[in-house]
Amino acid sequence: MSEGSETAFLKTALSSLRPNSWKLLREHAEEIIRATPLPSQDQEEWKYIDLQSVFSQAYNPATNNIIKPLWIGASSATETAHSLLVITNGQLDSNQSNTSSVDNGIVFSSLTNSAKDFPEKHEYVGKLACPSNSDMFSNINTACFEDGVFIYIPKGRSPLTPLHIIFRATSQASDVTPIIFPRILVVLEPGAKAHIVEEYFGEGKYLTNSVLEIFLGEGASLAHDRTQHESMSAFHFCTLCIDIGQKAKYTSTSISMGGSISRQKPICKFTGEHGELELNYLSLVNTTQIADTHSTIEHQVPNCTSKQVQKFIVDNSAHGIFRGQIKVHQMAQGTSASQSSRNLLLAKDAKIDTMPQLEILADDVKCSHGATVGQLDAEELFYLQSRGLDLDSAKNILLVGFATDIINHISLPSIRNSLLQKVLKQG
Amino acid sequence: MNISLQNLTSQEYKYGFVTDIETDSVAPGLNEEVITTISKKKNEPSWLLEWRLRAYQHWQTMKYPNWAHLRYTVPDFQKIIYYSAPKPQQSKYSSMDEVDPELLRTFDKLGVPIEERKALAGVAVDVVFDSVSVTTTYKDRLAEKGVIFCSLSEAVREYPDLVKKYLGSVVPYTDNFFSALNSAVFTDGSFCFIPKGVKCPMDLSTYFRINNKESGQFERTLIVAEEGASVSYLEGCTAPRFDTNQLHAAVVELIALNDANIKYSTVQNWYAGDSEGIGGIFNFVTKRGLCKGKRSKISWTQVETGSAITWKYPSCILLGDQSVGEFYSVALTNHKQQADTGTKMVHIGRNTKSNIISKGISAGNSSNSYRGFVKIAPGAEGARNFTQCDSMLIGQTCSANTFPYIEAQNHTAKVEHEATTSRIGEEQLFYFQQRGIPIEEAVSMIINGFCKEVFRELPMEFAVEATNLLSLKLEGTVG
Repeated sequence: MSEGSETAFLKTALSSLRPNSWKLLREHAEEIIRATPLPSQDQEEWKYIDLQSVFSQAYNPATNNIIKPLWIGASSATETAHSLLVITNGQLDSNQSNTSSVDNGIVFSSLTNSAKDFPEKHEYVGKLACPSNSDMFSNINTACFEDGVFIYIPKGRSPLTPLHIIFRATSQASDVTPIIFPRILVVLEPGAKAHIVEEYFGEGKYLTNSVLEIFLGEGASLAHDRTQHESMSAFHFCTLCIDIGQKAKYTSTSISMGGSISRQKPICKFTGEHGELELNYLSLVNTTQIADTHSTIEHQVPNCTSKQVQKFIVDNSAHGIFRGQIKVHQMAQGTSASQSSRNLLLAKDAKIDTMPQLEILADDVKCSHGATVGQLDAEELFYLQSRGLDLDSAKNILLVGFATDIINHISLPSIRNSLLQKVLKQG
Repeated sequence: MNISLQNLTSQEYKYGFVTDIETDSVAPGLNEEVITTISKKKNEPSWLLEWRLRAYQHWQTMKYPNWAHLRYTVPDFQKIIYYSAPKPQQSKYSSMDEVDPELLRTFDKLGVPIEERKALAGVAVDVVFDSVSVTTTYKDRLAEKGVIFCSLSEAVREYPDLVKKYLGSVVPYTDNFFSALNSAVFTDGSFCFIPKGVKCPMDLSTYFRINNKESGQFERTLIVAEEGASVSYLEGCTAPRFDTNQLHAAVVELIALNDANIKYSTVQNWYAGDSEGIGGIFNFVTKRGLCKGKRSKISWTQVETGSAITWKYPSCILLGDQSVGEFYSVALTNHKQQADTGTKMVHIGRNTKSNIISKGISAGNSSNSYRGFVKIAPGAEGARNFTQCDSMLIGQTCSANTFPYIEAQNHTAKVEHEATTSRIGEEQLFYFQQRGIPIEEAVSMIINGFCKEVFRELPMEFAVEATNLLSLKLEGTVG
C-alpha cells in the first residue's frame, strides 16, 4: 500500500482488539488489506460512491461498554421474543437476548462462545469471504471481528420460530466514531430448514461493517429477512456470501432505509445442481443518503434458478446505485436467471445509477434482465384522481404499491406492518 | 445441438486478396517527425500540424485503456506504418483514367460502385485506400445542390474554415487513447457538408480498405448537416488476409444543427482472422454524433461482422431540445472474434429521445458484449430512452454479455432497458426441416428474423448485402 493511503480509517480499524482465534485467517486478511489500495472512484467497483467521508474519519473500535437498553423496542417483532439475540456494539447483550424457545441441537448463540463446542464448523469462517478474493471491507471484518452469531441447524431439523438477530449501535460518549464488525456464520446441514431475521438499528454516528457467511447443504432451505434501519448519520457496509448446495433454496428479502452511506454486497454461488435463489431487495433513500447494492450471482453448475428484483425509491437529493452481475459459466447449461432493476425517482435532485449485467457462456439458458427508471406514472395518478382521490393520496397508493411488492415477502407480520407504516410516512 | 449440427466448415473471406501496387509509405514508428512528414506530404496548413502535435503530446500522457471485455495483445505502436498511399501520389486524380488500373480492378473485385458505369447504383462514393482518399464520384451533381463531399485532405485545402470550425468539436483529441492517436496521425477520410435546407439527393458512401501489411488505418470522417438538411451516409470496409493484426483507429464526427437529420450506416467486414484467431483487424473506432440543434436527429445503424476485435460505441450527444438519437446494431462474432460494442446516449436537452436496438449473435469460440451507456443529465426534462438488447448463442463455446450503464439524474425522465438471450433451438430447426427447408437456409431465416428490426433501418442495397454477409459468415456453424 502506498504511503499516503494509510488513512485514519485503516489505522484505527486495524488497531481493534482481536481475539486470538482465527489467527492465521486474520493475518492473511491484514496482509491483503495492506497490499491493496483503498477503494476509490477510479476503481470500477466504487465508481459512483465517494468514500472520502468514510476514510477521513478517525474511528474507535467499539468497546465493551454495554449501552443502556434504549430502544430494544425499536424492532417491532413480537413473534420472536424467545428466539432473539441482541448484539450491542458488536458484543452479545445477554440481558436483552432470550433463546429459551430454541430446541436442543440447534445452535443460536454468540460466535466466539460456541467456538469451542464446534471447532470443525468454525473452520467455515473465512471460507466464502476468503481474504484473497474479497473486498477491503470484508477483509477488515475478517481481520478484526470480535464476536457475532453462529447458527447451526442439524440435518433435517428446523427451529419452530424464526431466529431473530438485532444489531444495535450507538456512538459512545467520546467524539471518536465507533466501528463495529458483526460476523455471522450460518450452517444448514442437508435437509435443514430455517428462517432468520436480521435487523440493524442505531443512533448517532458509527460505522457497521458486517460479514455473513451462509452454507446451505443438500436440500436445505433458508428464508432470510433483513431490515436495515441504521441511524441517518451512520455508515453501513455489509457483505453476504451464500453457498447454495444441491437442491438447496435461499430466499432473501432485504429492506434498507438507514445510513448516510450504505452498501450491501450479496455474493451468491450455486455449488450443486437444481439450487434456487430469490433476492427481493428494496432500498428507500431520502435527504442526501447514498445506498448501493452490489450483487453477484454465479451459476457454476447446471440447472439452477435465480430470480432477483432490486427496487429503489429515491427522494430529495439521495442517490441509489445498483450493480448486479449474473455470470453463467460454460458448465451451467439449463440455467434460468432473471434480474430486474426498478427505480422510482421522486424529486428533482434524486439520482440513480443502475447496471444490470449478464455474462453468459452457456447456450442452453434462459436469461433476461430489465431496468426501468422513472417517476410515478402520470396516467395512473390521473386514474386514481378521477376516482376522487386527491393527488397526495394517489401518490401514496402508487408508492406503497411499488414497495409492497417487496415488503410482502417479509414473513413476520409485525415487521411487515411496521415497514408498510414507514413507507406510508415517507410518501 | 447434436454432433451433425456441429460439422464445422469455415467460410473463406472473399475480400482477403492483396493488391500489388506501389505505395508511398513512411517508416514504421511514431514520433513528431513522422507526424510532421505526414502533414507535409499532405500539404497541410500549419494550424492542422500544430493540432496534430498537441494531440500527440497528449497521447503520450495517456494510459492504454483495458476496461473492455476483450483479450488480446496490445499493438506495438512503434511497429505500425502511419502513412501508406498508392503511388503515384499526385495532387488528386482528375478523372478515372488516371487511377492505377490495378487499383480499379481491386474495387471491381470488391464490388464497389466506383466507376461511372455503375451509375445505376446511384451512390456517390469516396474511396479510402490504406491512408489516402483515392477518388470521389458524383461530385458535380452534388455540387449543384451545394453539397460538399470530398476527401478530408481536400476539404482542409478548399474549405479550411469549415474544417477548422468542426474538426475535433465532437470528439476532441483528449477524448480517449485512440482518438488522440487518430488526431495525431490521421491521414485522410471523408468530409461532407450539407447546407441549410438541402436534402442530399443521393446516398453518400465511403469505402475503406487496408491493403498494406504493416499499415494502420487512421481515417477521420466529418459530416455537418446545417439547419433542416438531411443526409444518408454509408460506410463499408474490407481488408486483405494477413497473419498479423492491423490496427484501424478511426474517428467519425457528426454534427446536426436545428431540424437536421443524419443517418449513418456501416457494414463492417474487415478481415476477421482465421478460425484459429490468427490475424485480423483490430477495429478500435470512436464514432460520435452531436445533435446540436433543436429537433435534430442522428441515427446510427451498424452491421458488424468482421474484425478480430471490434471495440466501438457510436454515440449521440442529445444537446438540442427534442433531439433524437438512434442506434441499431447487429454484431456477429464467429470463431475467435471478440466484439465489445454498443452505444452511448447522453441526454442533455429537454424532451430528448433515444432508441437502442442491439442484436448480438455469437458462434464458435467468440465473445460478444453489448456495452451501453444512457445518461440523463439533470436538465433533461422529459427525456426518454428505450433499450433492447438481444443475444443469440450458437454453440456451447461462445459467450454473450450485456453491460448496460444507466445514470439518471432527472426524475421526469423515463428509461427502460431490457435484455434477453436465446439460441437456435433444435425444435426450431426440426420444424424447418420438416417443411423441406434445408438447415442452412433455416438458420439464415431465423437469424434474419432475429435481426429484422435492424435490417429494416438499412438502406436497400446495404440490407441485401448485410443479409448475404450474415449467411456467409455463419455458414457451417450449424449443419
